[in-house]
Amino acid sequence: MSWKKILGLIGLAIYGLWALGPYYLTVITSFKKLTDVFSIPPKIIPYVDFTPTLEAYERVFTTRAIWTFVTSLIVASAGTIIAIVVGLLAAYGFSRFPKAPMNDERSFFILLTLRMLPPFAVVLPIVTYWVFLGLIDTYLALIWTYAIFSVPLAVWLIKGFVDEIPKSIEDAAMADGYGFGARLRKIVIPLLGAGLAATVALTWLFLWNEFLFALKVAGGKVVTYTAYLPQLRLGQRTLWNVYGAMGTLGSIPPLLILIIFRRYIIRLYLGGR
Amino acid sequence: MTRMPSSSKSSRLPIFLQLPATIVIWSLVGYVLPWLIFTLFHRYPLGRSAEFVGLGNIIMMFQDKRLYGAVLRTIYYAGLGTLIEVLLGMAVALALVNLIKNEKIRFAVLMLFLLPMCLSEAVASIIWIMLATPEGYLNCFLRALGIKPIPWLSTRWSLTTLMIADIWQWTPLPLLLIYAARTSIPAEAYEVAELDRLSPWTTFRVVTWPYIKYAVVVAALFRLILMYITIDKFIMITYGGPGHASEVIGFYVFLQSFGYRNIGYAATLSFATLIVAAIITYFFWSMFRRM
Amino acid sequence: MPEIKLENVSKLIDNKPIVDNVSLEIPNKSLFCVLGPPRSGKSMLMRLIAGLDMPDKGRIFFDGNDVTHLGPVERKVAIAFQDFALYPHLTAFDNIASPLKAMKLPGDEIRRKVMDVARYLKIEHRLTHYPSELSGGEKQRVAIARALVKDAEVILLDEPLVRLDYKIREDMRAELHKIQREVGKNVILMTSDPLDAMSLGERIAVMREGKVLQLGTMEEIYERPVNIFVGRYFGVVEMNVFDGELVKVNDTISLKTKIFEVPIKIARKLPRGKVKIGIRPEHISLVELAGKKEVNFKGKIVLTEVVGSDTIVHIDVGLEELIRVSVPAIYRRRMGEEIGVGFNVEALYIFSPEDGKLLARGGDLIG
Repeated sequence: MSWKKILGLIGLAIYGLWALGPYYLTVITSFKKLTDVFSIPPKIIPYVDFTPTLEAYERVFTTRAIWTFVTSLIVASAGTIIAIVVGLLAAYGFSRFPKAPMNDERSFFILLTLRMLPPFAVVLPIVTYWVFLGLIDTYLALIWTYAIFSVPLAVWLIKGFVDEIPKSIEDAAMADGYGFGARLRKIVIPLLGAGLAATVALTWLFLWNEFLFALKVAGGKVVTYTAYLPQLRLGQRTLWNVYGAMGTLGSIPPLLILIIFRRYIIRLYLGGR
Repeated sequence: MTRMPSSSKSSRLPIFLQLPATIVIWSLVGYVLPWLIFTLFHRYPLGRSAEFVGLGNIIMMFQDKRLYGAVLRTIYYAGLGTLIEVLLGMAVALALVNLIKNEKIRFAVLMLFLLPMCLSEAVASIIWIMLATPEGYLNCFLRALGIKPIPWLSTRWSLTTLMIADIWQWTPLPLLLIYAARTSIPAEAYEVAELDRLSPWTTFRVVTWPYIKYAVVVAALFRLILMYITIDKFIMITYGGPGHASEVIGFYVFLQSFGYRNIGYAATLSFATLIVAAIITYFFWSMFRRM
Repeated sequence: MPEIKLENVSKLIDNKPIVDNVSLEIPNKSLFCVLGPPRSGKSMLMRLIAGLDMPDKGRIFFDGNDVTHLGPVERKVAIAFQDFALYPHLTAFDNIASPLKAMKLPGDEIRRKVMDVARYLKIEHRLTHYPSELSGGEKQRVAIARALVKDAEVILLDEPLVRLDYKIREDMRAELHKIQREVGKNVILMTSDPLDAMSLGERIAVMREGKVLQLGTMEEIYERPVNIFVGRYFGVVEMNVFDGELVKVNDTISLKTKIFEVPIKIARKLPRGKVKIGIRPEHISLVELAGKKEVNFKGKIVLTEVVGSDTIVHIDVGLEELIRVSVPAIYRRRMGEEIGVGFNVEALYIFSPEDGKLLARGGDLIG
């Protein structure tokens, strides 16, 4: 092995340390006693430098903190379902009827532009809207807002997958006597298969991770785990280990999705971009 | 020769397919856009009703010194940040492919590298709060090594710290895109380069770059737009401070909307940023179509 | 099994006519062939006949009933697609059963019909396999089985042989013919290979750029192609076409070219002047046989091509293009060798130089 290669591998190792180190520190922080969190030198090896404890997690599970995860789950899942159902139909239209009104390139472009809207620019009008309807800080408001912002991504990804299904198969289904609904159920969706699953996962992930709208459209009675995090920092003493615990718990679904859909990450990014 | 009416069911289907999406989206967007345009021309002083100010808000925007500072900070943060993310991502992607030949191991390492990108911005924020806070991990390490601690969240450093946090979280995106592009290059292309005894730099220029340049551009544009749009870390970690040290455009608009409640002015700024975002998106779209 | 009639049917995409004012009559219980190069509109024509697309102008009748607005199921049409269009996530059995399931037939009846068709097409042992596990020929049979199982009255085959290996193609041509005769339905075949049309079609329509150029039997189109394009296209090996002139010599009309001049008898009075002359490679003789023909001359062999069990010899006879001669044997001569070339006048086709239309055959007699 040449010294260039060794140097390169060391470089990669350093990058790996840089990428995973901070996360590792956060996870072990969640298992520390508050007094063990920041010390000089930092305590980084469990059982050697410090005794792991579950006191941070106890705090999380016994206060409203744990319910924020449930809220996130509800809101992310509901928003995803709406976005995927609506997006599937629209994606099919864009793919199979590119010349029809509302299905052409211009409409597609308008849809995509929506995704590029800065949330900070539209948050205030959206909040005003929900206040006006008397629905501010409700599940409905947040879920509906989430669905709207997820549709463009869902349509973009699903359209790519629908494009890959040969039209002749649908012609054959038409000739066999299947109407549109049956075709969708029996042919299109099964053939979309894992691509659709990966799209669902990615959409859900974005909603699970979302912060700004959770904070402003909801945040009082309806609190997602992301909106709850700033509240942990108020006051004199920050409970760092609880911080770490919330972060660790919040990172579990993303990691699971990364592991389960790892093969599709590349495909999605190639196809989605 | 009779002209037949377009047949009943089939020609209405495409429209029905788009209706749910259109209804869902425009139920909100249909309010947002007119609202922005309306409030753009008004001011909303506390206690009194809205007053029409014509182009007053727009003129105010062009005279706003504080906005000028925010623009400069945004260029630094998003511009330099994107540059570093793309270069670093490219370096790591190419190193991965060149140095680890075993595909299983390489894929596993890639997955590990992708971890930061999958986290919520909010979670990444708390990770970096724990690192950057004066008593936090970074300074603990520095002190343990006998080095003077750095005030990561001070006026001088906060914007840079935020940029570093973003680099930490999002370098994996260019990394992934370039990795995908690089692995699609057929091995024969490199064998030919070897036979011709090309230097590593020439090989990169002639073989690698033509394949990955598209991924590099897409990654850069994507990160640029997203760094411009996303202010989660700014809300979580520094809240624009200390002072105005980490006040970027997006955060400034946020502050005007929810902090100062200058609704009309916030709408003006929002509109301006929307226009910029639309221009960048159009740029991206037309580049993408040249594929 | 219906007689199908198309009346002034047109279909436009982006305001360009893909099918341009086509009128056709397809007699019932026949094997009808639509022949045309790529982009001639034959695929769209098939979709219009099937009911997958509606025409922008014109009407379509099955047995006198206006079916223009009906879909494939109501028209009782079955289709076998060019790329087979099998459902990849279903077994061969389920693929064939699909139309029956759509009709909601009882399970055992479905099973019976599928097995019958599968046995007929000799694929009953492959029914549990998925399309990805089948060979090209087997996939073709499954696609045809799916079309046959339906009790449809019209069966449309879209370039059924184009994806098959050369060897299998010949077998399939014979089988398709057999199937049509035995099954007794209307079979309409779209192809771009003139060989398919020549060996299968009872009636053939030749299409180009959305229009039907000629409609007739194999012999009619072979003997009297309506223009140079059809003449060249509808042949085993492409027809030779070169310049000539009709001149009056004494009291007779002669056909004159750079290398020969020969009196011809023509039924209609053709204008004197330039013409295009066509002759098929299979009507030209070489060597000893050449000497016995009405017109003969010498030429130099430039190239010999063995295609299948025939040889195509490219000869330079002094005309603007090489002459292709088709010899039904493996025939090896050296390049540059001189050889005798000959043909009879009646084999000639005479075309107009302006629009390429057929003016006469060499053998037309003064009536």
